[in-house]
Amino acid sequence: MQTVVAPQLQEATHLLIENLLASEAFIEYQHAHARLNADSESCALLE
Amino acid sequence: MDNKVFDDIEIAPPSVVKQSARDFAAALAGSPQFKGLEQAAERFRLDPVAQQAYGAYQEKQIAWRALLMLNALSAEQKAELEDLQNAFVNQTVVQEYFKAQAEFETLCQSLGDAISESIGLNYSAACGVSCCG
Repeated sequence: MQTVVAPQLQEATHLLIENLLASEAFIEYQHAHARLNADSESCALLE
Repeated sequence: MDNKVFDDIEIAPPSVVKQSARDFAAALAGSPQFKGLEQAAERFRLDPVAQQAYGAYQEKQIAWRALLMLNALSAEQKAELEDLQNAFVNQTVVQEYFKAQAEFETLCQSLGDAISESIGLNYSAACGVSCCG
């Protein structure tokens, strides 16, 4: 089913995405994710 | 992404992030799809025939709950329940409500997909309460 997203809602969604990406929690998550990916031993344990 | 890149990112204060979430919720509540759902719910609430059909179906479901759970309804009981269900779901206002609900769900799914794709995480799953949350 196709849906039409009103311009105001599109803008609000865009701003929410921008702020989520710039939030402290998300940046910390990205830091941790990058550290995990750089640690081959940890990655091997998770596989 | 290395630490240098992270260091260059300007962190959004929690108040700004929360405000953008509030603005998003307000815009969603103002969408034609949500308003359509609210209007359809109100039409259903104010339709005495649909309400009666809903009540009759619900009453029988409650009365036969144990038998339903045990899948122990007789053929007559099954037919009666099916008739009551059909009488309910075939009401015009109920059909309109289901349509409005599906349209709103499609909108929410579309927005959730857009957010998930942009942040690289399943947004709705990430918002859920985990065993640690």
